[in-house]
Amino acid sequence: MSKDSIISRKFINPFDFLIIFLIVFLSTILIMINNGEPEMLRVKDDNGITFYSISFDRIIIPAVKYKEKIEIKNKRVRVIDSSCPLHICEGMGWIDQCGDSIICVPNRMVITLVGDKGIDAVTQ
Amino acid sequence: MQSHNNKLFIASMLLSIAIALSMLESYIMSFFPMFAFYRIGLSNLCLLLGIFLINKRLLMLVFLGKIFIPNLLLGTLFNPIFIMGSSGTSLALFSMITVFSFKRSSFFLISVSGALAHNLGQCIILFFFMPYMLSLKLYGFMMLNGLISGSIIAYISFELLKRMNIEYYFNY
Repeated sequence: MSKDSIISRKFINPFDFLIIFLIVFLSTILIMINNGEPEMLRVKDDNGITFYSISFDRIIIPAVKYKEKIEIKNKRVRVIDSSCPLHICEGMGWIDQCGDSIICVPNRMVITLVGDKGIDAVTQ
Repeated sequence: MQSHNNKLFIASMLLSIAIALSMLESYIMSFFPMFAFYRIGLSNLCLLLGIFLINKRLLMLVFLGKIFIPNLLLGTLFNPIFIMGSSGTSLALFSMITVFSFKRSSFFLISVSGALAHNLGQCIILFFFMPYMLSLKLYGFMMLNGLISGSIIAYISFELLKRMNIEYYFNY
């Protein structure tokens, strides 16, 4: 907390470029982490929790207040034909990564893509 | 000798700017409901300036005010987002003071270390709510964001202190 501590400091030192490189390198590695291939679709609706395989294409009709459909196509999932008030779940579009989820608050429905490791004793 | 009133004046100004920036941040993030928990860390600018201009006791007051007052005004006190924000800010302040203690450290290094620590603090809390690997992936994005926001904050504070009449401030 002295004026020398302000005056003597530069905006950037040559050493800091190494820090920038390290941060960019580390963040790229973290971003490229693969969560694993999704294997199952976990649907929580009025009937409780149900797991569906996403290996083949189909349309699921969940047990919810406002009618809607869940479409599975090419290991991707989306909500279509939703009659809930705001259509936010429909607007989420496709999900295809492990851990991705679509939540419909008016219907109290949560759909999540899970891998083999995503299903543990508690969720089963 | 720097007068106590002078330091108190600067501390109160920094606190009010920190509150305004924190509230602005919350307003900006309200447009992205998926990332409502995330804070860019703009208000770290005030902590960074405080490290240079005021003593540690006043800095702690600015820090506590920055954590509690915006959340009190927004009605988000003690909710999960508050816990994430406060843990991030605590780590950021600790990190910036540590890096500042090295005499050759630049503005950039101090600010970026604060921004990265801020994001790390948020991510540590996220580990309790999200899958571990997903949180790590998210931290990758946060690191890049922290690098950019940290650089901007470093530049603003560097220019501000350069333009400030430091001789006057420290002598009266």
